[in-house]
Parts: sequence; structure tokens; C-alpha cells
Amino acid sequence: MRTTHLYLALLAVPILHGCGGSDDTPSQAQSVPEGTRTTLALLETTDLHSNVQSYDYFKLAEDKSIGFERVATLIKAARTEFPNNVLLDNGDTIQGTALSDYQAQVKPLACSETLAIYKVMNAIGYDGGGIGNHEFNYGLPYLNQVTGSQFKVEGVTAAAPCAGPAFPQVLANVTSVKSGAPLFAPYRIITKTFSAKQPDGTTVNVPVKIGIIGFTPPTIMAWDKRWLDGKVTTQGLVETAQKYVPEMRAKGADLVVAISHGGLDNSTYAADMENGNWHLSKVAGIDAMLIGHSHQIFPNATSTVPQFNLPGVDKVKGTVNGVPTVMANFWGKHLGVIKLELAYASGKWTVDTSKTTVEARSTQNADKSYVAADPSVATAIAAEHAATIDYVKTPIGSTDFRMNTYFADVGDVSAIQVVNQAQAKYVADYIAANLPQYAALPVLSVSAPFKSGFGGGNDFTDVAQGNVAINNAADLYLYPNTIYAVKVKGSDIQAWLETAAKRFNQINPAATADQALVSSFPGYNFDMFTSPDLHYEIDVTQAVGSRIKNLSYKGAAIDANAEFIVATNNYRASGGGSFPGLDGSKTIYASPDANRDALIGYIKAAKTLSLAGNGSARSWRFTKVATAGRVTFKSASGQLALATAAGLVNVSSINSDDGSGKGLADYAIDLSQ
Amino acid sequence: MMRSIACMLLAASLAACAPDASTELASGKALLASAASNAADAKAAQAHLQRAAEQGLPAAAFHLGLLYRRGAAGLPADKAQAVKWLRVAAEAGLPDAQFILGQMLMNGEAGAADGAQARAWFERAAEHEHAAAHFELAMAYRRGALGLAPDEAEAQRHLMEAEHGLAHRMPPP
Repeated sequence: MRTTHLYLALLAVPILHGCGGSDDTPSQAQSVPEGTRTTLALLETTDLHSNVQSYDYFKLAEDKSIGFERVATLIKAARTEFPNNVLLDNGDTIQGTALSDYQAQVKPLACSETLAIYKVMNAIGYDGGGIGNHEFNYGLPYLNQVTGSQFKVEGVTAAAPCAGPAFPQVLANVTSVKSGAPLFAPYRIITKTFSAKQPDGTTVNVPVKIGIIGFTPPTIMAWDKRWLDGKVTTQGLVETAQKYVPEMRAKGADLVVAISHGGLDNSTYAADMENGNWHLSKVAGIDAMLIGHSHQIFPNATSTVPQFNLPGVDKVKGTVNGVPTVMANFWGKHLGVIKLELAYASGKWTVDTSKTTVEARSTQNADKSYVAADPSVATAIAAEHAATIDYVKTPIGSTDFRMNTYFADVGDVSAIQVVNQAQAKYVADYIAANLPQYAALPVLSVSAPFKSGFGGGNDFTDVAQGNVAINNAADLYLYPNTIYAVKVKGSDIQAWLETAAKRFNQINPAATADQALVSSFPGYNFDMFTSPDLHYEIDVTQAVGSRIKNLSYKGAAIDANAEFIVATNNYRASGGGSFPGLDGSKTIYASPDANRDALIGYIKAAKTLSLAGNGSARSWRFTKVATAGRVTFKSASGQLALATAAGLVNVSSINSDDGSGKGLADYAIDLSQ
Repeated sequence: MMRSIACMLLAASLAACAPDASTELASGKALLASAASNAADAKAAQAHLQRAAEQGLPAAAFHLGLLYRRGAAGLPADKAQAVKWLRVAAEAGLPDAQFILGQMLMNGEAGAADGAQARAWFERAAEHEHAAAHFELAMAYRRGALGLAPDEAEAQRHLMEAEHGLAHRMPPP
């Protein structure tokens, strides 16, 4: 006991000094007896992407599978288990939800305010953090503000630091062109006070100096070119580590932890490689790696992902070329835990590698339930959360008609035309401003009924007449696609529509039994135009590939060689759905903007949507044919009036419940009308 | 001129005079736009890309595979050749090639549809954050396609991944 007290007294002053994470605290190693051992845990969060609560802002609903409020529970449990711990975040922290957009763009954060995600990280007490690629998404002045930094970089005005994280942030491989120095501190050495066991069995508090160094993918220069070009440069992970790790050791770091936002790639090393950590692990002096960016789990014995099945990578133990490494998934789904046991010998701490364990702990329990949320997290950001929900619910315009996809398969375009209008306008504006070589070409657009009943009667788009809010836009455009523009010929449009028409079964007009109209071809691939300039028929009595009839543009048969620009999405333009000729080679513009955001912008500008102007331009109809039997399809129960309102007078109701238990009913369409 | 004469005289050094693979790839890609309507350009594009592909450039194998899949002037589509070259590029790790090969296998463009193999290629492309591959997997989980049992949680996860992947796309090959 007496000895313990003596050591505590000796250590008290330097420990207090070390709490600030000073880089130059003199080592107190000489106070520690040989053979003293301590166990500590490095705890990692990564790719939180501003998911503070377990909440989906577009669905306005809880999502227990995500959110810092649940990983916070794992952090607290791990801290109980490992009183000696170091909590570190790997980056991609400040961007990724409506909450982050709200704080960055809708109601920009005041200098005195702390970003919601940093607020809860400060409250739980992080020891340090890295910087991911997405930290750069809102530009350098914003990053400078919310991290409480004082960047000496072009475009950032010198000023007192704003509110930010209460923990050090490190990034070694991004340098300001203006100053020639790293944008953030490349590394920090944090002195932690850990309890340790002396050879005589007594417990003592000892200082351990943890060096943290940060890396981000050098590919940020391409991804955020508009913000970064000419302002910063990036350096490769290996050469940067070779420069700084010895310096950290010389300054007394007992441990060096790389916080590297990236995954593993063993192809030939290049300074600009995105996932350089396989090579980084070979730099001498790195004791552990906290990695991320790939949104994967490591270690994971059953992982089939190539990056965890490389030579030198032990996906069971969690080592990369012998270096303990963890990747904690994304959006707060997992907590990375690296347990290290240190032994004090010959005047320094050494990792007893035989005792190291690495794990990624899930917020999901074995029975598929989730750990409880830490209630203090939601409390801390209640105002920001409520404001974001208000923002998502804020009317961006109004509609004088009910926009729905209940009868999109048979010709109602009430929920599709506005999407096409928004996409066409977005692309036309971009071409006018940036691509003069295409200025003479007509701009058309295709979209599809993404919600078309596959999941039952509730799986349809349905936006009520009245105000339209951002969450309604998410109903109108369900998927997180981005706008792409392709240049095609008239013949390509014909082929495109032939593929889309696979949505329908081939109908035999002579058959007397009921025939189902809609095939298993997915609704999201049922692309359609909704332009007064373009008209076509779908003849469902014909075989696939011979169904598009009377395709006309501006009143005349379409010229097979005429060129058009068609606005669509990344999936289609890249080859999704195997539409002929669409394989990426026809893309003239791959926009960074989401189709949904273009739609929101369009509705905001239009203010009022009308049935006449935005919901009734049918470009297509079925070729008229009399059938001996009924041609049937399914939609939600009790919606016939909507078909009638859309002018589909040839639709009738067969029953109010098809017996599937999914809220669907059978309808018939008279193809002779 | 001097260079070509020297090449003719020194048959042994012919290989050294041939354009390198990246030049062949660039030459082939430059002709792709006109290949649809000009048979000479189509043939030249095919030759350039094939030489580059045979020298081990995955991007050349990818474009050659696409050329065979689409067909061009005087060059009828050949789905078997398309699969062959796309597979070369896919096995070399090119996510765009993995995605298109998956599409061809899913749709049975060159033989019977093979959902399991298609899914394996989509998974490999998704591993490289290929947004459209994540989208395809999301739809497969939602609909219970490609040999998967319906799993809405997995569908949501892949949609999240698709969204994330779109935020940092790599330039096309």
C-alpha cells in the first residue's frame, strides 16, 4: 500500500499535465517498476455519417439498426469491462443524413454552436479522431468551422476558432498549398492514466503515452475536386507514416495507433491509392490500425470480401501483416475493440502480442434485437433532431392532384411525370451551362414506378393533394440514385422501350380465361417517357422485342438515326437492367446530384403542381385489341376512383381483396378501349 | 518516317516498335464513338483493344467485351466473346466489368441465366462500392431474386451502401 501511494504521489503532477494531450510531456517511465503490466482497450467508431439517433429522416421512422445512441451503449459497456480505454473515431463523421444537411446547408450552424454529432461525442468523451473523405463534402470553410480549426488554407479567413470537438483530430496526409503544412495536426500524443499491476500484485496508476496519427484516402482530390483543387495536396500513407512515426516515437509515444480512413488493398503501392492500409501496416512502429471507409466488419471469420482475404490478413484474429486491426462497420452499427496488454521492461512499454484480441461488436444481439439506446444521446440533440424533422416536413410546394402509382402499370403518370420533368430540366440546364456541343439535341427523360405493389397494397407511391414536403419527394423518388444523362439515337429509344415493355406478359386475344397483364419484370425497370413530344404504343399481344408501335417524336415517326439526350439515373446508364446499348458508354454526364434532390429543386421552383401541367402527359398507351377473356392486374384495394380520375376509363374492379392478405385487389383492363 | 523505316529494317525489334498497351487502349477507345456507324473504325477499335487486352490491360478487356456485347458496324454482336473479355476484366478486379458481367449472367445473355454467378459478381463489384451493383443486390434481397431469400434489412443495407458509393465514384475505365 505504502509503495502504491508513493507512486501515485510521484505521478500526480505529470498525469494532470498530460490530460490535455500535450505532445511534450516528459515520460514518467522511470517511475514504473520492471514487470508492471497493464491491459487497455482501443475503442473504434467509424463512418458514423452523422447518424446520431436510430432514425431515418426520409421515412420519419425509427431504425434501430443504426445510430450513435446505440453504439454509445456498447462504448459504455466496453468502458466498464476495460477501465483503461482509449476511444477514437475514424472519420466520415459529419456528413450523411438530413440532420447533417440541415446543419450545413439549411440553417448553417453558428460559430458558437457545436455540430450535433460532435456534441454527443464530446459528451461521451472521445480521446481523439481522424478525418474521413466525407469530412470534405461541405467544403473547407465549413470543415474549419465545425472542427474548431484554424486552417491556413486559401478560402478560409483567419479567425478565432469556433466551437467543435473537445478531442484532438489528426490527419497527416493532407497539406495546405498555402502554408505547406498539414491541414490538421498530423499526430498527437495523448497521455492516459491507466491502472497497472506491479510484479508484487499491487495496483498502481501509470501514464501511458498513446500516439495517434490520421490518414484519409488521397482520392479526396478527385471526389471533392471543386472544394480542394489548388488548395490542398495529399500524400501517400506509407511515406507519410515513415516520416511521422519515428518522430512520434522520439517524442515518447509508448504506442502508435494509426487512425486510417480506408480499407485494405495489396495491389502495387501508389501514393494515390484509395485503400492503402495493407501497405501502411508494414511501416515499422505502428502498433494498431483503426480502419474504415469500406463499411465492412473486421475481423470477421466468415467474411468473403476480397480485402479481408489477402495474404497477410488474418480475418479471424484481426491482424494485417501482424498488426492488430479493426473496422467497425458504419452508421454506428458496431464498435471496434482492440485489447492490448502492455508489459514494462527495460524502461519502456512493450505490447505482449500473445495477449492481443480484436473484435467488432454489433449493436444487434444474437436474437436479432438491438441493444438499448443510451437515452442521454437523444436528449443532447433533441432540438437539432426536432428541427431536422420539421425541415423534412416543411412544404416545398403544393399539388392540386393526388400523385400515385396505383395504376402506373396501365398508364397513370400522376407520380412519374414530375420526376421526368425535374430530370429533364436538370439535364437541360446543365447542358446549356456546360456542354454546348449537345445544346441542339432534344432532352427527354425516363423514370419508372419504383413502388408498384411488389410488397403489397402499401407499396405504392401516394402523395395527397395539398402540400408537398421533402419526405413526400422521397416517396415520389424512392431510391438514392443520381442523375445521369445519356446520348442515344431514335433506334436506341425504341430498343429501350422494348426492354421496358417486358413488364407485361404476352396476351393471347383469343384466350377466354383470365390473363395476368403484369409479368415478374420489376417495376423499377418499367421506364417510361411522359412527354407531349413523344408517343408510342405497347402491343402486349406481341412477343418481347416486337411490342413498341408507332413511336413518334413531334408528330412524325421517330428518325432511327436522330440523336437525343435522355435523363435517367446512374443504375440505368451504367447498365442496370440490361437495356440494349446502355453500358456506361453513352453517358455524357454523370451528375453528383441525386434524382430526388433535383425533384425537390423542381417542386420548390414550380411552387404549385397541377394535374394538367405535371401529372397527365401520357406518352404511351396499349395498342387497342379486343380480347375474348379478361386481362387482369393487381393494385391496392379500393382505388378504382383514382384510375377513373386519371382518365383510365377502361379499368374496372374485379374484387376488393385478392386473397393474398397483402392489401391487394384484382382489377381488369379492357384493351379494346 | 525514320522510325517506321528503322522498324521495317529491324524485324527483330518489331515488338519494341509496337505501341504500348495504354496507347492501344486510348486509340481503341477513341474509335468507339464512330464504330457504331463506320465498319473500318469498328474493326480498328476491336484490333487496338484486343492488342491492349492481350497485353494485360483490364480496361481494354472491358471495352472489348462491351464492343462485342453491343456489336458495331460490320461487327455483329457476339455475346460469347463479350462474356469472355468481360470476365478477363472482371477477374482483374474491374468493378464496372464485374457489374456488366453480372448483368449478362443474370439475364442469360450468353446461355442459361445463372443467378448465383451473377450475384457473386455483383457482390465483388459492391465490395468496390459500385453503386449500381449495390442497387442490384438491394433489389435482389427485396424481391428474393438471384437465389436469395427475401431480406428487407439486407436490402436496406445495400441501398445505404449504394448511396454511399455514389458519393465517391471512381472514373470509368
